Amino acid sequence: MDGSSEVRVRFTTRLEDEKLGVGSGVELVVPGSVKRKGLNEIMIQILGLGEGDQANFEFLVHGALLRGELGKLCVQKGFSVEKTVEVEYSLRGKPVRAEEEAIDLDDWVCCVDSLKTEDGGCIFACGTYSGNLKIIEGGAVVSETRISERAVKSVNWTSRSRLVAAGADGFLRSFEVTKSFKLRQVLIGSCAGVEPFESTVSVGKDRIAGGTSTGSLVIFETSRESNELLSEIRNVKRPRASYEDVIRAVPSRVLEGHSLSVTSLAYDNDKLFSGSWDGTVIEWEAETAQRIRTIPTTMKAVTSVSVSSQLVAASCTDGALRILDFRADSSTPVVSVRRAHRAVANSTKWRPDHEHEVASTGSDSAVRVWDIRAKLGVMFKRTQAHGEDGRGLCLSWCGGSKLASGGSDGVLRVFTFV
Amino acid sequence: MEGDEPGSPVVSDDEADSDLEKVEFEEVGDEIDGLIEEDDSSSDEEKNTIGDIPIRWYDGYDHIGYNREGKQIIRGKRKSPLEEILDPNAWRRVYDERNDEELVLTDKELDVVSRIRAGQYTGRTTEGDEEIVPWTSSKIEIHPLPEPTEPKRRFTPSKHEAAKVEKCIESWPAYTWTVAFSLLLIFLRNVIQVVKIVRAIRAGLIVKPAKAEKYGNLYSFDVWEEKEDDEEKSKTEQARDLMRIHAPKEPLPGHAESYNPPAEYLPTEQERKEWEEAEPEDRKTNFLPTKYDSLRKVPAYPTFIRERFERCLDLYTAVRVRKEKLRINPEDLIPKLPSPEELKPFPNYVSCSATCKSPVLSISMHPAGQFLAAACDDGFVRFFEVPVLKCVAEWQLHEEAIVNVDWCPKPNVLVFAACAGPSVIIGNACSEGLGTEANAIDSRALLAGDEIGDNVSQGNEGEWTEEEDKSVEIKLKRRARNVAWHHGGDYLASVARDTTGSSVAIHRLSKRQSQVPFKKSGASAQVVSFHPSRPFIFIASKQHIRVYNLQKQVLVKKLLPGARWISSLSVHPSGDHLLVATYDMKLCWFDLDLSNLPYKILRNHDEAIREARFHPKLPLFADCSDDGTVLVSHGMVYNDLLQNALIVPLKRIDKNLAETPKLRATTLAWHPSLPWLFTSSGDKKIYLFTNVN
Repeated sequence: MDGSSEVRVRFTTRLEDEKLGVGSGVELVVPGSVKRKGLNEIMIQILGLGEGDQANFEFLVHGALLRGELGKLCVQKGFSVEKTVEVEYSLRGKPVRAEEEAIDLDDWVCCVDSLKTEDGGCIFACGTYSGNLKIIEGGAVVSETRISERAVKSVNWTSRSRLVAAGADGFLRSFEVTKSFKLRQVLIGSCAGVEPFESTVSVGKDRIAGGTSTGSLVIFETSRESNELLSEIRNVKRPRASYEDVIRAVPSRVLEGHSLSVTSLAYDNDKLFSGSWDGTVIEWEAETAQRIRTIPTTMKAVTSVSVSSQLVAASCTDGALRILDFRADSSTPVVSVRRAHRAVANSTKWRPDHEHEVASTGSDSAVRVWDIRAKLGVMFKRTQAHGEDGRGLCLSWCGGSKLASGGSDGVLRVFTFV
Repeated sequence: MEGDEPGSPVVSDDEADSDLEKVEFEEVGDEIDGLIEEDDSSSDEEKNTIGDIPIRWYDGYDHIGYNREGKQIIRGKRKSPLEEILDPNAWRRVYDERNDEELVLTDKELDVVSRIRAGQYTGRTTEGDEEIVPWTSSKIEIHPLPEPTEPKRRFTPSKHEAAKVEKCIESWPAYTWTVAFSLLLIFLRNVIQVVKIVRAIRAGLIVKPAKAEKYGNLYSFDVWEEKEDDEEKSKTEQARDLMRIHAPKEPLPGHAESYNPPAEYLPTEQERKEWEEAEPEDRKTNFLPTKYDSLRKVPAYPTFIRERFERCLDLYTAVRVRKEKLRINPEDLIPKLPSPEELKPFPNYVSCSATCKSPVLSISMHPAGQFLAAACDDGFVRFFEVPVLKCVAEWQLHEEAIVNVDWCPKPNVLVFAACAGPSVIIGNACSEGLGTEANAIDSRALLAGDEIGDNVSQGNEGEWTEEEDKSVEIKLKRRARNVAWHHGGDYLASVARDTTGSSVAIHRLSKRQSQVPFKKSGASAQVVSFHPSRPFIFIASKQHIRVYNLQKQVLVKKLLPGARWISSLSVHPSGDHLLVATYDMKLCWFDLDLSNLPYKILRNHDEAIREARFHPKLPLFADCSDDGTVLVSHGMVYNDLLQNALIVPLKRIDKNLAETPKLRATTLAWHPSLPWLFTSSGDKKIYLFTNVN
């Protein structure tokens, strides 16, 4: 079967609109050279849509978005000539455009996490290299505190009023954010004197996990009573006088598995995924802290992991974005984009409510959103999002439509997709 | 017979007096037949009927053939040699082996033989007493002499004669060929005489050459026999044919050699003069083009014989050798090395770059792998976080440029040593906002040292001043150039150098002590480095490297890289190998167990090599050169003492760097555990190379 031959197609759809659902079940023979636009015109004719509707359809052939010629795609998939190819059509999202909003911060933005409020707004928590933790709502910094001289490496909302920040000084700090967004230090989780950890933090149900620069993971259980923690902490040497009035906690578990610095953690229900410079992604059982699987990514240091329904996206220092499937047996990535970024890929995040879309940013200053069905075709891209010689360092989705990205220009950019 | 000119009269000896007329009308053959019968007592007719076969075929039998009645001719009993000697007539006997009979030469025959040997005519009557026939007389005739038409037979060779001669030749041994030919030439006209001579030869009257007797029948082969197909050829012949080298062909004559060359080939007067004056060896051609109107005017070529002779001489003297074409596959000359694909991971692409505020002179990577320290031209040390290369802190240590920086090799502390001006400064990077609380505690503890204080000044070469928890400065007498930490993190060595000389000092941080243990070696010390596990120190001067045992305080080894100026020194983590970069474009790999000469000298750069470094964990090393390239190589060291190190160049990085080649990379550092390489230079750029693909 090549581009010149004909392909027998049967259209299916999941569209519930009566008018648009008419095309379901229609069987046609189309030339193999037809592309998306051609099929789109055919579809419009089948449905009898007027020009005024300007319907734009996207076609899925066995889980792959149609890009290029249909015949070639069928050859790739290995369909026989006789086979009727099922083509699912769906309304194409309008071309992704984004409104951009820039919020100036004082230094390189290390980390960002977003919280969706009940009224649909977004609250971003940002950590910077100068050690400031800032809360941003409605495009303005509403509250900030300087938590240390070192950079804030990672920040994560634990609940509507609490967040955890990991500093490069080796402490995890838990803050309570009141209504007036006044930060109040409530808890410092630390294993000071044992292992310095600084790189990352992730929050699961009743648990806070931290990654350390030596390759171990520390788990704190937040459900434990604070006075219990207090009694534990009395024996721990206190490194700094200024924190004496603060409750300290020791980790309930220390997980050893990585040989180098843990760069990123991600909770997914009862699983914890950790990425490290040693080039592996490890899946842990959250409850028992057992290691389940280790997937190596060919000696490329992992800078960030994000998990969505067992698919783990990992950004690597070689600029690649690898999608790993922990349900499959093989350790090779399901999809991998070798040169997602021209420099180190620093961060990646799955888009909530869109199971095929993943955002990434890297040291080439670009922010891109990929669709993994079309071999990671770029859905949205903003090159030089953080200046010409800048770096994109962190990403966070707020709902399915807002993407916040922080970088070396000291600006938090919020892209709102319309 | 070939010499028998047609038309010339055949004159027999015995009828020498026969005139022209007689010869004309008689059959020559008949005449001779008659003569033979007359002369020879025995009939020439063969008794033996075996025909035209060699008689030796009958060697094994008691007979030699069959007579005309079909009866066997029994081999007669030959006389014994003694009997022959005793026989008075033995000398005139000739044995005819075909007919098994002895012929006795008559007096007349003997006379002929003796005449032949004396070089005279065979016929007695022909000698001197011929009648002078006045073939031409003074009298001029009006009519031609009567001359009838000559018969055809005079023009055709005589078959009869041919048969006779053939018969003789057949039975002759090869050695008689020469004799026979000469005889034939002389006596062609008298076949009878020839036969007689043959018989005489058989009788031993004509002496054989000794050599011919020795080889016997070996010489009786057909020289002109044609062998048509190769199957008949023996293997040696075939081999000889294969190996036959034909004479080189002479070049064909050109236009200049024509007898009537075009005018442009003719020499001018000056050229002719030059040619004549030149030595024959110096002449371009061995002839002068000369023009003749027509071919008949061309004179004999004067040097023809000489040229032929020289050609023959050339062919004869110059040994013709089949030139074996040396077929060497260029691939075979390259040593067999594993493919770089198999030796992954190694850094190959720029993953990140950052711009420093001022030119970078030296970089060092912290052993925990998170911070890169860059020594800058403006007296600052700047710290970059990996892998985003964010400048997280900067610290002005000195007013002058920092020429060298080195992190303390303990991974839990963030303490570095730097050289600036005459000082070695040990700084605590935690005080500038780096690292964790735990790092800060450890660093402060290291910097504080032991509580001593009294014997601070004892044996102190340097002047120690300190700033609480922040830095310690050691002032040296000369300008500090290079500093290296001991793996324990307490001792450090420094090289100080100025126009008057140089000195290598060893400092102990905990005791605040400085020593200069090497009084002599201070001549031109360049770089210094500690052995990673044993109490050895490597001190590189301009041209060699001395290895001292610090415990025993003796010189262990002196390594000779054969270079003029050493630029950098790197000790393999195992301590048994050394990488020496030189300004004269060489990179020397020393195997300390092998010899004090380099195990391998790598010349991969066109300009001075600034720095070369081993990777602390992986089997990699890299070197950067003034030609603007960084070469990443695989350097595998085996535990097996018998196996030498494997060195494979992997990647030459020359793209994506600064536009000014000289400033592309002057200093480099490896990440302590990952295959990441950092390079920097005076163009203020810091590059991170990682393993991509």
